[in-house]
Amino acid sequence: MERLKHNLRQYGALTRLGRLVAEAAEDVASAARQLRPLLLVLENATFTCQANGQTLVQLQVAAPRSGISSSSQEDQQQAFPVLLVQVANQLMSAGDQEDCQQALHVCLSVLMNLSHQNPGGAVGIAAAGGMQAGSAVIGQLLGPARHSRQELCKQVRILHVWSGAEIYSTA
Amino acid sequence: MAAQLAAKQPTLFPLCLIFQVLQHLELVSVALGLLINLVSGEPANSRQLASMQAESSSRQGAAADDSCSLVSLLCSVMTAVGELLQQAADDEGMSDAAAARAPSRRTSSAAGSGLEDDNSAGEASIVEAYCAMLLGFLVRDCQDVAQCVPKMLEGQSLQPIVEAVQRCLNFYISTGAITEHTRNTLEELLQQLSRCG
Repeated sequence: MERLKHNLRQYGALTRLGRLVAEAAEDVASAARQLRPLLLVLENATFTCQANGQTLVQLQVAAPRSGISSSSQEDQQQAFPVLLVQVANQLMSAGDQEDCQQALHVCLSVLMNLSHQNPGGAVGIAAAGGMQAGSAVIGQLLGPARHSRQELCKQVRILHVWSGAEIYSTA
Repeated sequence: MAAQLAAKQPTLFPLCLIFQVLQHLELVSVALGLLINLVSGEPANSRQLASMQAESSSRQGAAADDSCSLVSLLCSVMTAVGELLQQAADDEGMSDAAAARAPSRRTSSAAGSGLEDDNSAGEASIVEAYCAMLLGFLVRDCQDVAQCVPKMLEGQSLQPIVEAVQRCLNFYISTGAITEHTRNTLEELLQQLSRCG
């Protein structure tokens, strides 16, 4: 496995995969199903592999064209971790679709690997809004709105397992 | 009837939190892991994160105040999951509660396995451990957080955080699943937390 990780970096596959992610990031919500396998390879390639993580931290990729005027001829470049944070934010905004949730999980896993024992990666990801993204995921999944009465009533039928009482759903 | 029952039994709210944790176990774990990596080596990041609100998604019919501090949410999650694990240990009749609450390895197949999965409590222990680590780093770096967090935890002290981090560290050492750097970081954190009292 370590040999494979080395070869991915040595022969440019890691860089190529990063650029494919950047291309898919032009329309994240539609490309979630394509993004996931690309990100899965990057997740495994960067797991306990500092060299691969560093390669991706330093990789420059084209920024998504949305928001850039059509008259601009020059591709804007940005660091790969910055792109990943943007992808994560877009996947979160896409809602509860399964493809987007799965892609979001892998995207965050790559970011986690890039920031593990890598001060440069941690600084870059934080500067790109990585903490806001992570905090937003936790807030959206576990935050106070989930405890609204409406949500509680929907979940009571399942929760009876824990309370040990017969509770009749209002559904 | 369910709404009336909910109004009378506020303990159902932590159950909702546990339900959400188990529903989104892997996503919550990886988000916590990312935040831990971002703050563990950068106190400035800790201070920034400590001031963040954990905003829920806005939906029609949701309450006006849909945000709470991330710190208070982490304390609630850690407490709720800790109670779940203690209940699981009691149900198993295990004399050594610490053994019952040792974090288990995450596997991709555990995603969304739900309440029926026998490994739910074990998998949830990862969330308890990660919440504790993240809170520990925030307490280490932020005076304000160090003062308010004990008030939100059982026993009004940092002991739940210390115990959860220690359990996690012991587990990873016993399984050999920890780098020297991470081990040193967690051991230093435990020393610093003990000084915080």
